[in-house]
Amino acid sequence: MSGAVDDSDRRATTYRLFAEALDLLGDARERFLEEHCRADAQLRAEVVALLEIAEAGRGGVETGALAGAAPQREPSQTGKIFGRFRLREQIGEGGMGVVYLAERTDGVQQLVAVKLVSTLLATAAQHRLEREVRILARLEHASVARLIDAGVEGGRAWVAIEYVRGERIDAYCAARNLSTPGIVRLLVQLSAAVSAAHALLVVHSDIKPANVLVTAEGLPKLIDFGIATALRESEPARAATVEIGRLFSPNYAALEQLSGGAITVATDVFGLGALAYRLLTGAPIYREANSPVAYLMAVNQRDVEAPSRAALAGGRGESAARALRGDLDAILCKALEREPNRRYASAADFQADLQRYLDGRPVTARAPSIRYRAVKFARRNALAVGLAGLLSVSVVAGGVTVWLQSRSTALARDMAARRGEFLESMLKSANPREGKRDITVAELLDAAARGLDEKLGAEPLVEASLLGLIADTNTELGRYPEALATSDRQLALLRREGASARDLALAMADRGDLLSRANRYDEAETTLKAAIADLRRQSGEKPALVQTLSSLAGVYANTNRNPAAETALAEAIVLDQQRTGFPQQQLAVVLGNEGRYAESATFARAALDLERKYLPADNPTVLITQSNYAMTLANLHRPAEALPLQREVADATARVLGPDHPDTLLMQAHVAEDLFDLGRFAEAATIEHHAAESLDRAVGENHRYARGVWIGYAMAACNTDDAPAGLAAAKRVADIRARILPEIDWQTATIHGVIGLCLAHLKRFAEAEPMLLQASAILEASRGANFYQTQLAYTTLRDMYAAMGRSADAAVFGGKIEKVK
Amino acid sequence: MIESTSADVLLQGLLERWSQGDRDALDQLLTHLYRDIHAIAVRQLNQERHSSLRPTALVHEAYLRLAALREMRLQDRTHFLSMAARVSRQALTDEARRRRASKRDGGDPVTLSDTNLGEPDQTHDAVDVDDLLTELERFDPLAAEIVSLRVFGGLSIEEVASAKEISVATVNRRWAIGKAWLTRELTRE
Repeated sequence: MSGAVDDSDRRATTYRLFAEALDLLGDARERFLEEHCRADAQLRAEVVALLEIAEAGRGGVETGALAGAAPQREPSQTGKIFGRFRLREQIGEGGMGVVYLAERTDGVQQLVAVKLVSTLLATAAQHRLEREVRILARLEHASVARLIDAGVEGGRAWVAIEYVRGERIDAYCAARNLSTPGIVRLLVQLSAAVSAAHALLVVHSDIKPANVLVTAEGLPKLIDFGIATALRESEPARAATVEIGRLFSPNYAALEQLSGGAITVATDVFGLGALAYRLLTGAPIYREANSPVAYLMAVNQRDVEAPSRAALAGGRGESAARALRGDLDAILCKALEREPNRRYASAADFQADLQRYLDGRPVTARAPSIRYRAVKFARRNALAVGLAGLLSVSVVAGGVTVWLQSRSTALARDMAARRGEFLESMLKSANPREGKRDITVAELLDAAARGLDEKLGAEPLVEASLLGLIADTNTELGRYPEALATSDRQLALLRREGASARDLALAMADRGDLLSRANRYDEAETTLKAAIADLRRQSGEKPALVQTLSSLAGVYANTNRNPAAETALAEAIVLDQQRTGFPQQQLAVVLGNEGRYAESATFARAALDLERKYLPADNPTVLITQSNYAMTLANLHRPAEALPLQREVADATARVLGPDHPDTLLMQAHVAEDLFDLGRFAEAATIEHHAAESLDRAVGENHRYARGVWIGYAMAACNTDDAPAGLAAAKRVADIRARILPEIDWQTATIHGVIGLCLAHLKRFAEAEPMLLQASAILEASRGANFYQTQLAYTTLRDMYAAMGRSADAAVFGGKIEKVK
Repeated sequence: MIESTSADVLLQGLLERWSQGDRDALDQLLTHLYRDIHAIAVRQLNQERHSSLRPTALVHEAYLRLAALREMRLQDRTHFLSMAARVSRQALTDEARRRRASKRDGGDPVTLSDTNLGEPDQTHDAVDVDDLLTELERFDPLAAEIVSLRVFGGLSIEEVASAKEISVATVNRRWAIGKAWLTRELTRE
């Protein structure tokens, strides 16, 4: 410290004068220095030197150690004249030189910003300045500072640009405590400006808060096209950063800028994304990277943290994080993809997605990925399997729907009518609207089972039919012991009354379904095979045989014996002689489970065509077939075609059965699935939440429909802000399922897979991992590696490991994922 | 890494006691921290004789090793970093003075880089910085402390504001003044 020889009082005085003078501007500062330094020229020089250092360094007083370009110190140019402009005071410093506020010398009242190319960079930068002039002259946009004039004065180039009176965008947002939509609106305007520049093949390549001012009217203005590069359509320009060195702003620079890659419009998409991230979360991307090198490494090695999490970590609170979770997380992460070609293709696309967010429309950043599609298969097929059971009988509080039987014989129609009357009387006797609100469907069924003898004692066949109905309903509710007891009663009654082989076989087919549903596959198979053997001995019982064979096929499908299922269904289709479409539809479900979606669609379509021939379009059977066909379309990645078909079904079902009918609610859930496929997760979640809640009320939470739709809701919700609610729903379904059937099987594994999916979405990887590993192991062991649920588990695991940066593990599961057949 | 597993356990215990308000634990923690930062600094200096030290990186390394033991609350983090900055200043300048005085080390000055002062790759003599900060403490104690936290701890403006419980604007202003003065003195021929 050779220079530190001044006596300490003098040094303290210098410091004090400097600190005070720093607060004064222009004449006031001049007077202050006059007064306090007087004749002491050395003191004055010291203070002025300190003032210059402080003012030169002010631009760099952002947080952290991430300083940008080296400021070029040079003597003040205040008072000098460039073209028509006299420089008044230095107002800024950019990568290319200093910026002065200037006034016109010809008397016109106009303030402009004059940028002087620093002498040090003169040779390289003057060419760039010329380019900038050409670019800016063509660029007219309300949100871009306008070029006014340019020239060369005394060997140095200068540019006069519209002087923007405004606040830096980050200070503007902070001072006004701008809401998330308010900030997004500013970003939409800015993106439009960047987009206008792109239309002229101009890339800004240095978008950051310091380059965006907001006027008092709230108009954002992009300033300083300092390193803007004119693009040629054929060859992307090389980065200016390569030749000039460190002319980028670390917290906003994209990977290609740091690595010397091609600067394209995608670079500005990244810049806009980084600016949006900063404004919305309060933190820079890679906030822990506290040096240019650390930033470089971060951009090279990992994706940005989700904005919602960054906001939370930055202490912005849960409500701010919630506003970001979902759509904005997705939009920003897409804009901030490290690989340029994975970002939005243009600033206009980024702008459009931000606008969609503002309008509450689905954003493209969340369009279905391979993972969503895989998830989709799972859920769709889970419900399709359910529909196979639904084809026999469906009952609900308030009415009875009879499917196949109703069109087979007049007797069945009569029975259906009698069953309907009976149930209606039971329901009326326990009308929830008349005070007994606590009555449940289950209690109703128990009461019905008890009351059968007294009400219908003289009509054993009707009684047997009703017992079957009660058994079916109990099955749907997951009340397997009750269902089996009722089924026992039904079979005993039929045998006692000397019922026909056909009726016995049908009852056994139902019992087989029930046993299969209760995971008692061996007993189910024995029962169904016995029924089939009985029916084969009878001639003319083809319809019953068709249905029983179809039930047996269901057992085969559920025990991973798809070839046997297909054989049984092939026989059923032949026997059916194209009369019901039922076996075709079952076959469509079995094929769908195997991932053979094209064949599945063919059979579903055949079933639909067949049924439409002899049934009106709004017949429930036709509607269900149409719905199943729509599902196969969705499985073929054609959700846009499936959606109107499902909507038609849902509307017709609501008309025929009423808006609160469980079948109506189920059909609405199918509509939601197509919305899900189309990436419209929020809409899907809303519909499924409503449907699931209504189903809970209508049939109870134990009902298979309710469980299935809650699972659907969980899958949709985990893609939205309501991911925690989705997780809770999935966990609840798991609890219910464990209560009904405590054993762990592939269905439990499926539910656990969805819980794992929700956890993965919530980035709770430590909990998700064991869940998913266990689920995939169970599914693989019980249903095989190609089973759609197994594939779902693999896909989720792969994506999760990729997100965790465990690429080796991701590759293991990526290798297990089959190409969609 | 210097710490053994048992040292980790010890530090974890100290951290917990500190977070419960035990001031003795804090003293012990700072002793460990000093030893830790000093060791990292010496290791770096020995690895590359003329390399200059990056105080920010040292503090962050020390911090990361502790943070891995237990997730600190944001508030704790700021306080920790500000204490670590003080420890870092002491440890680095102690070592710098020792080397300057020692013939064995050739009397080479220890320089600091990545200090928030001037250019990112500019280096400053650690002893000079310490001397000047000691002087600045007399004129403007607040500015001196802010500069010290920024230079030796790598704290951001916001972190300094949080640690000192003053506004960001105040930190910005005092930092600009203190930094300009220090820059001027360090670049004086």
